[in-house]
Amino acid sequence: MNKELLDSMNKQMSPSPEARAALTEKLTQPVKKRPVPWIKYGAIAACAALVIGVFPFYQAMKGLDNINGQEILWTHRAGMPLHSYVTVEGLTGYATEDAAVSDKGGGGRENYSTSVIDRDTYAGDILDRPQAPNTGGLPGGAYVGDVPVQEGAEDYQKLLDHFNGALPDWYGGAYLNDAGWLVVQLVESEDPGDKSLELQVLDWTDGGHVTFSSCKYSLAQLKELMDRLNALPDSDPVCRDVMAGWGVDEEANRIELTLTDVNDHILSVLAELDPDDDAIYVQVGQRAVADVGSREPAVIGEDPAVHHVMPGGVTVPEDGDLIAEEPVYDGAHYDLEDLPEKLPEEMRPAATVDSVSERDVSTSSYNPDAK
Amino acid sequence: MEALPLRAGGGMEEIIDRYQNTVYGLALARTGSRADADDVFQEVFLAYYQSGKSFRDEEHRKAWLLRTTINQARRVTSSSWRQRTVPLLEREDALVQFREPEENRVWEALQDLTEDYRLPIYLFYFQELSTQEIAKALAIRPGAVRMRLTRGREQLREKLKGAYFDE
Repeated sequence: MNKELLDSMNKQMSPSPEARAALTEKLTQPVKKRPVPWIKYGAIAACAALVIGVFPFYQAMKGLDNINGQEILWTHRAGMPLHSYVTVEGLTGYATEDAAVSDKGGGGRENYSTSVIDRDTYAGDILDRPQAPNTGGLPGGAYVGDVPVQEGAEDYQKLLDHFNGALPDWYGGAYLNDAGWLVVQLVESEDPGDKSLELQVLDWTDGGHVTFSSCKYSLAQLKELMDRLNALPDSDPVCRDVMAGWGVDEEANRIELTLTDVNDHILSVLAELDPDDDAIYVQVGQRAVADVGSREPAVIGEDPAVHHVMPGGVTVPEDGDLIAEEPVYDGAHYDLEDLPEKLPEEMRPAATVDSVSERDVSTSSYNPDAK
Repeated sequence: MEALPLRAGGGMEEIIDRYQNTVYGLALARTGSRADADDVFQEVFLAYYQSGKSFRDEEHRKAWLLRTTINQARRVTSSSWRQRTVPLLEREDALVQFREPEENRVWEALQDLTEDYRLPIYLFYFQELSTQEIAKALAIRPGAVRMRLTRGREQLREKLKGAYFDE
């Protein structure tokens, strides 16, 4: 290219004197610090806050489970304690297994036979009285209609009459022991030496066959817990799908709950209901409905199925259909005098409706043309 | 050539005197506007003054100034404020005027080239940089520089009918 021409052009390509003067003036001024990019920092902080805020939600989303073909969003929050449970393998025996143990309570493997609250039975001079012989063959050691059972039941009825429908805070329930004596559960008090309650109960029952035992929870507390459990299936579909049966065991001073399956969600809900992990005894397993007569319990003295325990340990005579029914049962409301003569299945209304008789001409055989 | 301090901030007047045409010319070739080129010229030397950089040698300093000029020119021409307010062709100072008509013809032909060809041609013929230096300033490979020079030269020859080429 023509060099002279380009040199001439180059000489003309110089900044204007104004620009040069402005630059010189700017250079004489002190160097300004770069403005702090607050917008940039703000955006970074917002992103960080978003990530931190989203993380717990992501943790909760990880709890997605597939129940009955539908994905359910668990409300279980990471870090929440879980309720303990035992796994029941059918009716012929069960292995204790505590896969999920809450932070407090539970505490590792729990054996059904040892998990029952220490009864710490005391009755003062009453203990010295002769015990009635065990004449029964049913769980609880008594037949319905046995004399010892009847005596204890009468005492129980007297006791309830004095309560007049309002359960006192000190009353933890009652049951008949193997000897047919009424064992009244008293909530542990601060003063174990205070026997005024025992004397009061003995007075109410006319000094009948009554002994006493200490317990942790009052029956009113357990019934309140039962109400909350009863409401759970309606409010929580995840719990509803796995809750098979539950009821108060006054002898063990706890609620026994059977689950068909276990998940962290219901365990966290139960842990919230039962922070001490001892008011609700959770069993997980499918309820067996057949071949009841041939079963041989692997753990002697205990039945893996949920007991519908009545005062005195008297259960409704075993029946496969009854077990299959899984009634929501509150044992405290059973009354020996009101025992059903028929099993619940038999008392149910007929599931089918008789078809209309062929001779019934009121509707089906109506012919508009026939006049 | 007088040795200048290699640390930015010192001897600013001498450094501006030495490189102002280089910076301004490249800015003018890139922006096509004297006003924008004036802005770029100021911004480049202010950035140099405030950078506090230490350069290895004059080549290093020159390469840094060229690279910064291209970046500042791109920032000026692509700013949304500039695009929103005054279209380039409507500006009074849009046309760069030289003294001789031939010079204006060459400049117009140069401005007609796309940027990919215009800048290598300007740096090669006006600033007399080597292909290596151009490659470093434009952040492309030397082979690409040579290819663009060849194609840009062909386009210029076509536009100028070979009148000003004495290769």
